[in-house]
Amino acid sequence: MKNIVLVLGIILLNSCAAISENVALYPIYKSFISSLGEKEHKKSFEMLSSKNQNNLLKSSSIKQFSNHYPVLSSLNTVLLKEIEHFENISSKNGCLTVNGFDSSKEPTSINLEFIKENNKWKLDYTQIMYHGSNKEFPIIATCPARL
Amino acid sequence: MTNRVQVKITIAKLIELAYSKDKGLTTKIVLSKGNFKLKVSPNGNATISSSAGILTFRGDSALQALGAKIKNVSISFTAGEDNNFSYIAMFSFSGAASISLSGSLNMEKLITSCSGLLCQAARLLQRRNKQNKAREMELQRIMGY
Repeated sequence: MKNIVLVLGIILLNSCAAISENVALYPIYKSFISSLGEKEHKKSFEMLSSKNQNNLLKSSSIKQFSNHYPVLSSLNTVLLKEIEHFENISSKNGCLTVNGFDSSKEPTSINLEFIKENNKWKLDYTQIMYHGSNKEFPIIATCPARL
Repeated sequence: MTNRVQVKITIAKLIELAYSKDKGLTTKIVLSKGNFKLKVSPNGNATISSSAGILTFRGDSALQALGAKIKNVSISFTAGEDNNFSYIAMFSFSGAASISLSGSLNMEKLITSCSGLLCQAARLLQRRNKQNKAREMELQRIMGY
């Protein structure tokens, strides 16, 4: 009987781990957007990768989040209307693409790249794409381009 | 906040700055047949180039309105008909983000017409930079340099 309970326990733990690993990126994005809207800088900061966190702390403090990350901190104002999103998770990273329309009602996408740290997805890089036409909307999850 | 309009105006301002540095060469580069590129490095040095030549100028004053520290800018222009160009621009910021924008503009209209708001803004920008430089020179003289 003890053995059966032990086996069931292990199965249950494994399934929890699997669920944890397959957490969708879109809810994380929405949570980040929400923290920006509510100006909860500490929460926004904690959702960044350690590289980005260290980058901020090296020269300023969490209070300076908006000044240090002017583009990231304005992500909540980019898409006035969302129409769809795609995500792709690999062993190295996770990429999320959100399509929609900006304040000029023109087609716009946000590409986000997450990396896993301590079994949690952390935001590492973002790209805002202002498209010339709806035809340019990505139809798959696209990792942000870096120059 | 950096939005689509600000990015578009920044692209136009960069072209205006090139034009104000060397009207003849910029016109030659822009209106030559084929494509051309505009790049800005982290130190604010900008180049506009095509098979017709290359022009170097300071581009940082055009980038100030974006309100974020720029790492690199790369804009590729592709020639269409009647001096219409399509472009793909990429602005890379130091804060883990980039902005890309695709669009089109009539280059001849932009560089030959100086009655629009854009040109006025570019002239104001240049005048302000000149005024700032003049003030700096004055202060240097006052301080005995």
